[in-house]
Amino acid sequence: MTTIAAMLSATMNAIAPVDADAELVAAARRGHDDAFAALVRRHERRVFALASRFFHRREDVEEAAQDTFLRVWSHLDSWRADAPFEHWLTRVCLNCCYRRLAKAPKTEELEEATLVAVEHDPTVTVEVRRLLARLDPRDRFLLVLLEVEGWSIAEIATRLGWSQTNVKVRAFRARRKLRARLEEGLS
Amino acid sequence: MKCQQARSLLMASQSRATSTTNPTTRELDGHLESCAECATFAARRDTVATALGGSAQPFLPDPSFSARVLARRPDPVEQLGNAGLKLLPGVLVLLLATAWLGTTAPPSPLEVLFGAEDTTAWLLAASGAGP
Repeated sequence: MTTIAAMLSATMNAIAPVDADAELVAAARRGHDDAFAALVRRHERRVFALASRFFHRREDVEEAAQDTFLRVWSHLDSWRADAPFEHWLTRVCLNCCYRRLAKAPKTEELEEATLVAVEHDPTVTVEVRRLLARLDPRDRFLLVLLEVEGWSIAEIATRLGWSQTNVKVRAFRARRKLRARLEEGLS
Repeated sequence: MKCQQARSLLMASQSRATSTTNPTTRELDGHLESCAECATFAARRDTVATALGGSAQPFLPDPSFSARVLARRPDPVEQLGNAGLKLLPGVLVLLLATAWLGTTAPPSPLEVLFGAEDTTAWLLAASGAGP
């Protein structure tokens, strides 16, 4: 399994120079639809891979990816070329995923989707699958960044554009809830 | 080492596969060998960490994804209309405030001195343009 950071660097090495993004953004700002379409095609795989971290159904990933690019399109003027486009896109995508998770009602459907998604892994016991399904999606979002990606509080704050205090508080709450779940049935 | 301390250490570490030369890690491992409940806690925690990251197979976009994104973009006219709708309450409040001030504003000094109807005649007479 590759981390988001590894995925980003691999993609950056594989594709054309970063200047191409700036040129495409400039052309898209001037109203060239083809340039924006090219920009989407250049980055769609990365956005799908990133969104797949947080959603287990294809339609949710597709919606999150579409939201990301629509937000990029409507805020193209706010991207400054002094930072790589990928970083900005990652931030937009992460925030779109978070908003989508925050809005999603905790329904049986969501829990079932999570259970189905982890079922193929034989190391995941039934009790842990239940535990994962009962985690708040917003907590799971932060736990993925902390536990799976291994990002620090500062890195998450930078990449999401949140304050460090905000991330720290949310991370503390998410870990506290996870710990309470892990301790269920233990003395 | 107490259970609470062991579990706090387990929650704080991303992976227990750290240096075994660390005294705290050795102490933690010793506690896990002697405490079945904390060992269960550690196993659950490791499994959750694995499941969190490994549960999702990344989906790939299909060739028509970019076309769908382009088709979903809001029409510029529609965007202007939406912006106008967002501004509408503010504009209405401003208009109402202006109207209210117009009807309740105190009279100017000239109106106080000469009355509202005589002000224009006075100004014309003073400038020599009157009859």
